[in-house]
Amino acid sequence: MTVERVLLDGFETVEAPTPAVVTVSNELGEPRYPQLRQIMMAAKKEVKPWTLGEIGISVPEKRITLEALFVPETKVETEIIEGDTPREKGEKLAVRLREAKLI
Amino acid sequence: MASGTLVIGEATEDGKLNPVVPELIGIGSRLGGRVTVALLGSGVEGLAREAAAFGASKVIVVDDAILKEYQGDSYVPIAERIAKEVDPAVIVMGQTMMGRDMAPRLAQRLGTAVAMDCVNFEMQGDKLVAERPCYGGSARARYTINGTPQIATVRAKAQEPAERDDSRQAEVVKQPAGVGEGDVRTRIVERRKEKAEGVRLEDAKVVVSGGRGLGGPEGFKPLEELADVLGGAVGASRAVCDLGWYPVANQVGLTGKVVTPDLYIAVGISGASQHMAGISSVKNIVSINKDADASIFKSSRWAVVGDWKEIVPAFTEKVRQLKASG
Repeated sequence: MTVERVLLDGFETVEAPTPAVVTVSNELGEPRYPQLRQIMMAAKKEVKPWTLGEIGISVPEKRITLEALFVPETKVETEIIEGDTPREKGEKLAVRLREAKLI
Repeated sequence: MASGTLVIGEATEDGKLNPVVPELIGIGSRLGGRVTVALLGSGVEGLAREAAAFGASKVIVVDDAILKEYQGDSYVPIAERIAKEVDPAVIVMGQTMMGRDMAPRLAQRLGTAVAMDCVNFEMQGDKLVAERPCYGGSARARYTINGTPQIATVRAKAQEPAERDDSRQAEVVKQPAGVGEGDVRTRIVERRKEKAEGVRLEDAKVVVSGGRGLGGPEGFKPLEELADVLGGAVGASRAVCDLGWYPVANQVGLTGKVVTPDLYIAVGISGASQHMAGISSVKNIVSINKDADASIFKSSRWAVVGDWKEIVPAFTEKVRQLKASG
C-alpha cells in the first residue's frame, strides 16, 4: 500500500505492507454527502449492536483519569494605547512594543 | 523504583537540537529528580553537549544512519529499551511529528498511558498531573496516569526552556541502534516540501493577522508590509479565508493553524473563540480594532481602538525607524 502523508512543511509518500492501520487527515478529500433517498434508505437499515463480550474484548483497567475540567481564567492586563490621532496611537504602539523588547 | 524524567529528544531537519528539547528538560528539572535525555537520530552525537548545557544529568545517544528519518518501527523499540533501562517516573517528548506517532506506541509497549499535547505539569506526590487544552482551546483538562512511567507529549513553547549553561557536564552514553533495515516495515519513498514563501506561520516569532474588519482582500497589503518589517508571517481569520480574501493555508484558529509567536498582532479581528483557539498559548497579543467592545481586547496585552487604515501604516513606519536606529 502506498499513502501520502501530510508533514508540517509538505508531503511524504510512504509504502507499507498490509494489513496496516492508517489514520487520515482532513486533507483526504470531500466527504460524500448522501442524497435524500440514501438517507431514507439508511433509516431502514438494521443496526446490530454488539457487546464487548461478543467480539471478545474485556474492558482494560482505566489507565488515564480525568481529574479536572475547567475554563481557565485569563488574567491579561490590557493596556489601551491612547493618542489624539490614529497616527499617534500607531507610533505609540511601536514605542511600547520596543520597550517590551518585542520588536 | 521509577524516578526522574526521561526526555525523548530530537533534532531538527537541519541537524540542530529541536527547540522543544530545552523546554522538555526544563519540565523535567521542575518536576524534580534526574533528567535523562535520549537523543535518537543520524548525526546527533554532537547535540549531547547541548542537552547537557540545558541541564540533563545523563544523555543517551543512539546515532545511526537508519535513524535519519523518524520511523515508528525503528524509533519505538529503541525508546522502549531506553525507557526500561532508565526506569523513569515520567517520560516527556514534544508534540511533534515524532512525538505524536511515538508516544501512544511507546505507552502501549510499556503498559501505561499517555496524555497528549499538554501545556502544564505539576507533581502531586508521585503523581504527574498533566494539563491540556480541550474543546478547541476554550477549556482545560487535567489528567493523571495510572501506570509507570507516566508519559506526556508537550506543546511547543508552552513551557519555559531550561537555562543554558555551557559549563554543565553530563554523563554521555552511546548506544547502538539494535534495529536493522528488516525491522522497518514502512518505507519513505519520497518527501516533497511545499515551497513556503517567507517565514512559516508556525515558526514565526511575529504574526500579523487580519480579519473581516480589513474590509477587503486589499487590506492585507499593509499587513504584509508590516509582517515583512517585523520579520514575521501573515495570518488570517476564518471569516476572511471563507470570503476568499486570503489563502486558507494562512488561516489561524480551530480549523486553521495553531500559532505560538512571541507577538501576535490582530487587525480587524473581533476574537471569536474559534480564532482564539489558534492563539491560546500566545502571551503578547496586540489588537487593533475600531470597535471598543471587540471581545479580542479582553485577551490582549495591548489594545488600540481606531481605524486600522491609519494606525497600521503609522505603526509600520515607526517600527522601521526604531529598527533602523538599532
